[in-house]
Amino acid sequence: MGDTVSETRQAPRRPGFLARLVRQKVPFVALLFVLMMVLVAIFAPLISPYDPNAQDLANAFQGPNGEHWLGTDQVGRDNLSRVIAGTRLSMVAMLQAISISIVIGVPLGMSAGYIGGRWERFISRANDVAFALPAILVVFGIVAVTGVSLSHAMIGLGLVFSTRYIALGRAMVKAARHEPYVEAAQVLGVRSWGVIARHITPNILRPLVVQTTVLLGAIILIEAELSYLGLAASASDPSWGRMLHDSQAYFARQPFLPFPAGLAITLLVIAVNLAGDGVADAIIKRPDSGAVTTGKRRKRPPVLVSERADRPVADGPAPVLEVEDLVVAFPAADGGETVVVDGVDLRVAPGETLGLAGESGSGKSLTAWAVMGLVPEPGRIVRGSVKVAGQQLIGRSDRELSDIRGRDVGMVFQDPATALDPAMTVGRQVMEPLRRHLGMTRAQAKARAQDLLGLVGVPDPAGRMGDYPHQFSGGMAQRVVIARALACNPKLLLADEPTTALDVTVQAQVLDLLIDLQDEFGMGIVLVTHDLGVVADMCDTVSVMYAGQIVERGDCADVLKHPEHPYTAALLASSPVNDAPTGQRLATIPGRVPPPWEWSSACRFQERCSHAVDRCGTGGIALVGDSRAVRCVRTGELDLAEKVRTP
Amino acid sequence: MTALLDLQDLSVRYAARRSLLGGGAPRPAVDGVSLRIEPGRTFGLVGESGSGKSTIGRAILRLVDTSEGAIVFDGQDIADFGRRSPLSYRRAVQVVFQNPTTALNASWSIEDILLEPIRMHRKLPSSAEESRLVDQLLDQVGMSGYHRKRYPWELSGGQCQRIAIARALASQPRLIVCDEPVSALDVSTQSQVINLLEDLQEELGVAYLFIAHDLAVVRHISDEVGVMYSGRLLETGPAEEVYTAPAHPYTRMLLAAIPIPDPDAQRERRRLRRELRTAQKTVQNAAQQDVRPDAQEPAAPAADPRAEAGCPFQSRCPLVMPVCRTVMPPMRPTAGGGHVACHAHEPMTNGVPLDDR
Repeated sequence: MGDTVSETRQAPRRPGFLARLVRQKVPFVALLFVLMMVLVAIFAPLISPYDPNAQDLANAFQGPNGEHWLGTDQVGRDNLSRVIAGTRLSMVAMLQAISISIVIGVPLGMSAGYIGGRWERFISRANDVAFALPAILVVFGIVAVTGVSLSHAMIGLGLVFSTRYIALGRAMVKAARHEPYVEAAQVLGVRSWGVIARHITPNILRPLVVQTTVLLGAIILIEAELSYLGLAASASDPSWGRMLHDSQAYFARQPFLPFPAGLAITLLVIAVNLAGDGVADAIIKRPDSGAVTTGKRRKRPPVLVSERADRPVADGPAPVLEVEDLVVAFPAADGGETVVVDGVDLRVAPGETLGLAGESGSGKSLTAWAVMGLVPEPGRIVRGSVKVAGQQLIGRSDRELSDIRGRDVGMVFQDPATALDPAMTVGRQVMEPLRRHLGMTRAQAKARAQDLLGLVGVPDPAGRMGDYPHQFSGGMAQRVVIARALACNPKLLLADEPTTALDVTVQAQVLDLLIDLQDEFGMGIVLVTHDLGVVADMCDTVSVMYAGQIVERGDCADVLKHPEHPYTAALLASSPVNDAPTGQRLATIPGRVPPPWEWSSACRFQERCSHAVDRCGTGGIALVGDSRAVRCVRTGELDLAEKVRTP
Repeated sequence: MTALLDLQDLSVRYAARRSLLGGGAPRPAVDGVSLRIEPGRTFGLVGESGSGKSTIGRAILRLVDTSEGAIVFDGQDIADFGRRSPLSYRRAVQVVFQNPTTALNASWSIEDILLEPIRMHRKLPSSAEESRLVDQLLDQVGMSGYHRKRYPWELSGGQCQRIAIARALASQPRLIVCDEPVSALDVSTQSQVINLLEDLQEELGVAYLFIAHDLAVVRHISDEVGVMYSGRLLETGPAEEVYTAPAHPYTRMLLAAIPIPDPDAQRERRRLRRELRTAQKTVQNAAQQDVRPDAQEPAAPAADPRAEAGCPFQSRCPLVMPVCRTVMPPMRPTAGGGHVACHAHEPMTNGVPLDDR
């Protein structure tokens, strides 16, 4: 079983939770601040320089000085000591409110999401009502009944905030409920509580942490507000809100008075939120999965327009697409760049179909996207030449490119469901390029769009113009996408796995449609696909890609019947329709496509190749040949056609 | 031989969505399906999206409830279990899902993923033996010990699928429901995984229900196949027989649509599939005049108006007859040892394969 062959790497060093946290710098500092405040709260009586309630009227209204670092208040109490005591009060209040809301909210919300049905409906309806109550009003009500008490106020706040956990817990669990890993655990016989506790909870911990820190910040503020209003902490308690309340009356005599408590509140709220974000990101073991990276945006070096010096003189009609020496790279972890498309050349004549074939990770889709200037961030085109009907696209602005896209080049994507705007009628989506690129009036565009929909085989086109994408089946939606791509009669159609998401009978219809439309419109087509059967069905020429490079290209029939690169031959042999008789093993290619950072200048297929010799490991293997070309040092030595069975 | 798994006239209905238009009775996702799987054998279930093939797998795994009919496993009707399946059934019936990366819990290391079923079902005396079993399972699926501490997102799709298979094997099951286990993988990896499944079957005697949309993939691994359409089983039979001499027009259409990587052969197949479609359109147009003017999209199964009566394939069938509109054809034996549900099937006109080289 070949998968292990190419893999001798040790398990990567994986930074632990703490390391991931420390690496985030700002959130880590914020977390240290929060922890310091917790320590302050715990040891408040020990570190307090004065008794927070000891009055000293002789020394009232002092500003910061050596005796009293933060000054004294209107009755001469030490402000620093009162802030320290207030820290303890705030922490206790936070703990009370948040623990009540978690203990009530999380189990209710998660059970509603997991069990569903009536229980879920009951919980979520009740929660909707509770959610609508303003927190502060509820606390007013509770205080009005039970009398002024910080604990009562915080219990009330906890009850109100439990609605946030119910809503979040329910939504998150409901989304995870039918994930395959959850169902697999059920099939193993894991009990419901085990599924929730061990499988679902770790995966929804991040939003719960974020929610908690947001609420903690809110609790600090609400506690301060309530105490300021005199509804929570009693007059003698050294609460931050109470301190602010008191400072209000004497602000004119000592302008510094509001600052100690005010700063304490502000800093703690900011620190809690920053630390929470950091903890939430550090929970995730997987790198780059939604965690905010603080990388600086790098200045992009200019793209080099490079053409092959030795390029062959074209015979026949001028090509609609000419790609030369296209190189696409992504930033690497070490600060350099990793090349993912490595010097690709393509040439498509009018009315011709080029198949761009390869496995996932070969760079075939990226090549097609790069032709349109649509390399996803943070990747970039390093160099190369892309000419559509003679005009160079490399180096053009996004604005110029978006004029060319849709007018000169049409695009069809893999998933028609996501390629169409769900909120717009299909009629308008087909009309859009007509109006934008050809400047048609509404009426003209409407008439043409109807023609186009009819042309791609949508029954009753006039009647279906006003329908939305979800009212179309997958195959019909893909026909709409094709109609839109061909609206402006482009010279080139880029189709990225256009039939992969479709059922096989529908795939056959869509391929037939593309062939018919090509006869009518005469556009060149680049068809990106992993399926050599699809290549055989409709391509004139084929370029087989492996690990970012073209390893073989040529006339479709020639390449598929007489492959000269071992990779092409192996792909053909492992195609499921080239089936071994039952009882025999299927042909496989051992191992897998190596990741881009392991690519060498030598043959990238050699570890998986059954014909590899020592020479394959020496660098600089070129694509030899012109319209029929192979990148293999053993070209001519191997008879690979025999390996390819035909059914 | 007694069947390991016996589906008797199984129907599954999903609760109807409450829509503004108001729905009638919920349409069955699976409609009266009967099939048997012998111990240590593989039954391949083929069909396009919406055919109900995955729902059958989910019913066997008790992830959806059965509406009518019975699922009998090893002589016992699983409906008798009540709400909670006994651990013995969970041990015996396992699953491998389509998407290998979402089928593994991303927060768990490979080791933890494999230890869960081991601890639940194997009750080994020491953690050292549990650990040894993890190594053994990894070895069985062609992975090595250094994968233990890795996480699913650090592995390729094919490797994740091997881990999913190892997890399924951990409880020593007698049946594994493989729900499109290779559809998300590259061709070269596909055949690696299929070979692995075959090796494991030979070694351990486990039976598979192999669900896939690709008849070519199913053909190799299966002893018997069933072709589903719109919740109905239309044809069953020995894998080789169904593939080389399909008896149902839908099976023929499916086979004709598979593109093969041979340009000359493919040109001929394209001609044939176009002919088939033209024939279908002609027949459908003729038939539509008098029966149902609302069949808008004869080609798209998702938009296919579900027939209240008769054969579910009627609106796409090139051989449609008046009787197909009213009576669901019963399963009848074919010359090749299979069964087919088609009014047009006569032993005389039996299965003219499109590609009979």
